[in-house]
Amino acid sequence: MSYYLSATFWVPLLYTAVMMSAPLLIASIGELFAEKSGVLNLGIEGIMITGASVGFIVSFLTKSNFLGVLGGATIGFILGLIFAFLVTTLELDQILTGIGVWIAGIGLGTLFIHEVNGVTTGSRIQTMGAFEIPLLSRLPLLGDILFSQNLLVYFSFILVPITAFIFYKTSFGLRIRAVGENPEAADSRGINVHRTRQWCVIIGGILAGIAGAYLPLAYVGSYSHMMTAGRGFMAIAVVIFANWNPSKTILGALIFSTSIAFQIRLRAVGVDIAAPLLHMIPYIVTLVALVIITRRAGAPSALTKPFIKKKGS
Amino acid sequence: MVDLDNFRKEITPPLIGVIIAFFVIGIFLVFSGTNPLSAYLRMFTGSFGSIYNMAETLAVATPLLLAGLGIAIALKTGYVNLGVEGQLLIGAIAAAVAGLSFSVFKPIHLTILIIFCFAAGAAWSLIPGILREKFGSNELITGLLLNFVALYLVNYLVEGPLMQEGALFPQTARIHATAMLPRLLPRGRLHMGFIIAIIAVFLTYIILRKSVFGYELQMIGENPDAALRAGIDVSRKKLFSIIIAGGLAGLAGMGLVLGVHRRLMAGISPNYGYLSIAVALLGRLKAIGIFIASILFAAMLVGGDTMSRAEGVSFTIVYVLQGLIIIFLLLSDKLINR
Repeated sequence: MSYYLSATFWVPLLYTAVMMSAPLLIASIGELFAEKSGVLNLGIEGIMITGASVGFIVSFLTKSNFLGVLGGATIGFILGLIFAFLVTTLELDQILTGIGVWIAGIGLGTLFIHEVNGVTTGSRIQTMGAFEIPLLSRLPLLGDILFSQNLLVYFSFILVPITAFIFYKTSFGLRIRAVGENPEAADSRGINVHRTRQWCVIIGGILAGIAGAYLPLAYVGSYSHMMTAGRGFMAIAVVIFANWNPSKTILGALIFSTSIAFQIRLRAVGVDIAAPLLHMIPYIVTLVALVIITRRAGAPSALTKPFIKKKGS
Repeated sequence: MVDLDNFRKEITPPLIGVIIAFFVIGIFLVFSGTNPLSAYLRMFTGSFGSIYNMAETLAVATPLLLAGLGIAIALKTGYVNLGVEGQLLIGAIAAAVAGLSFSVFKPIHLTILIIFCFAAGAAWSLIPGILREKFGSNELITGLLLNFVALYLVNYLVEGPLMQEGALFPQTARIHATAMLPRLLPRGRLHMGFIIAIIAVFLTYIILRKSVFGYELQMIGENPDAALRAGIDVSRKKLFSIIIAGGLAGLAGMGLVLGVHRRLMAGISPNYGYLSIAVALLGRLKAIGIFIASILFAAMLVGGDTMSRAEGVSFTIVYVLQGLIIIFLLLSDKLINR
């Protein structure tokens, strides 16, 4: 029993938890940008799958994980741009369009792998190595858990304060919140509602693409069909869990990733628990968390509502 | 009787959506060195080329049709039942449990199974509804999360308590013969679930077009406040539509176990629930439309398999095609019917 209280059990577990929190956190921050501006992007799961695929292909062909991440970001940008155009300029239903983007994304990811010569679902790449931060990585326990991670983990950490700064200290953030809360009022004050929402959805797409690329590039080392396994939807849950507050997304992402890590770790030490039941944990944890914490007070008032500019105004 | 103008308004967007999506994928096929015409011909012969292929297409259409009708009934009120995949899987679990655990006179066994699986799907669909009422949780998200819970519950059961002894794959034993839905043709997997789905088409048509309940659902969807002022018990009617949606999804899962595979296994539903949302949209939330759309989507899945093997195209291109159909459908609807 004492083993389960010792550092030898917990340090690898928390290391994995932090490592697994990065893609969730990056995707959640992306989704938060879109939702703050009033757009629910259900297509995020499809964008992540495609980001994983393109990221993997680019990394495999160029042997550069940096270019792989850039590839994921690029396809995320393109899909985000398309989704933004559909739900702002063309005023399509956000939820139904999101379902379309997601179903297409399920196919697109594996299709790309199939179409590029030399790449298969069996191909492998070297995953991103740990970057030990000088001095900090020497700290006992924390050094191993927090400061010996790959670069994208640090990126996800930095993303949170940057996002909070953008939302609450810049005029761009003010515009985002204005179009998310009351687009008509924002419009009458001369804010371009569609343009603001487009930027936010595109930022969300880029981050979802990076988050998708994280899985093959920083974690698994290969691509498999539907490898995101619902992480895009988890990201949407994290945003709700965080009550649309950037700093709380860290907590939400960590709850998810810790339960994933717990499951991985228990299996690694040979605990005889049925794997599917462990797989269920993060979903049940989120469900319970949503039930306990739900205060819809934080939701942008205009979320999912298309902005239709009145003629002649 | 027939309102031609309205008919044209309803049928044009899905037609245009399908045509443009096939065209776009066709261009992609050209660039990847495949002749799109021969690829689509393979898809067509693979799905309608013989009695056997047609029967297989209808077998795949059955769950899409049943779940899609449910999606439409709930969506009439504005409720997007994203939890449909989980409800379908819970129906499949219920079918396996009641099909394995006892055996009685066949008509009685099947009647019990139909009621039980409908109830199981309906119960699962009520969880997001209740959580919304009690705690204000977003039903889109709770429904989605419950899909994963149901998915891993299936995996747990077929690897654990319900696993067939000595089986190489995670699957249950075959259900009792009294629980098997009869097959309709000597060859192939088309089963009585298709007849149930056809009955559901007629019932849905009557509910949506001829009943007060259907009219009330329509009103709730168009203007909930006005519906409330008109004395309609909005939350009760909405809940009722969700129960029907979940129940039909449960029957869709039941058909997979009792009619197609005769057992529960991991991966029994390749996204049929999610695809049924697309089917309901393509069918314009109308019973007959959903019937046609379910056959079209099933044909793409069944024929896509043939196409993929004959032309060396990735099967997943079918998902891209189906996603594009939804997007172009929404788009043409917007541009034509604004």
